[in-house]
Amino acid sequence: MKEQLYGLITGILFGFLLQRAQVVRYDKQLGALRLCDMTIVKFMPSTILVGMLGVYLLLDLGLAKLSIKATVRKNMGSGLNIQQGRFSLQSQP
Amino acid sequence: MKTILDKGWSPYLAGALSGIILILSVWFTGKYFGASTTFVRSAGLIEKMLNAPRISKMDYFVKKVPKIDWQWMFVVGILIGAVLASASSRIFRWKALPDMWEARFGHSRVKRGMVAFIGGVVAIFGARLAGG
Repeated sequence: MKEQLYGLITGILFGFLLQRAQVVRYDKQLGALRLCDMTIVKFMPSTILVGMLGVYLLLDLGLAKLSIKATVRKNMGSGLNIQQGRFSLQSQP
Repeated sequence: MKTILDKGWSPYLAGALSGIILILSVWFTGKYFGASTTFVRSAGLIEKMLNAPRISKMDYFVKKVPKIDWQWMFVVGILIGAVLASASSRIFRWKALPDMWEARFGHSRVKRGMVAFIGGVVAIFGARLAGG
């Protein structure tokens, strides 16, 4: 029950900010897809950058766990392999 | 003053504040923001009312148990928070057709509704296929 209450409070705060920055509006959503309104493009990286700093700090302090999707790990792995392959090809004399 | 309010907050500021809320959420409850699983669970909840034995046997719903969890309440909260924000800044109003749509595709609400429905199907299918 406590978990649900936290969810509700977090949602209300997040929803408030989404609306105040107008990023939930149709015009902003479609504007972003049509590359004619950058509001969302400004909002999202701001959240990600701030969130990233805090979450990594919590991770280093042992206060948080990352939730990485299995597919992301796999894709990152194969991506790195491809990059590594390219690199070793390029570094051949 | 009204025009300043109507412009809303800077997306950088609101975005950064959202980041802080995310950090606090991860810190206190270990929950990351997400929404799409809620749609799946809700579909499961509705189907459970119609055919409970089928749901209890489906592998998908054994893994994604149809229940009202943290994220379900988070999604409901977003709706409430957005209404509070628009009501408190006095910009709340009911609108069937967005201006941008109306200017391009005309006044038909049925057409708008159908396209929105198809768009919703594509969006949620893609989100679930990608796992989030």
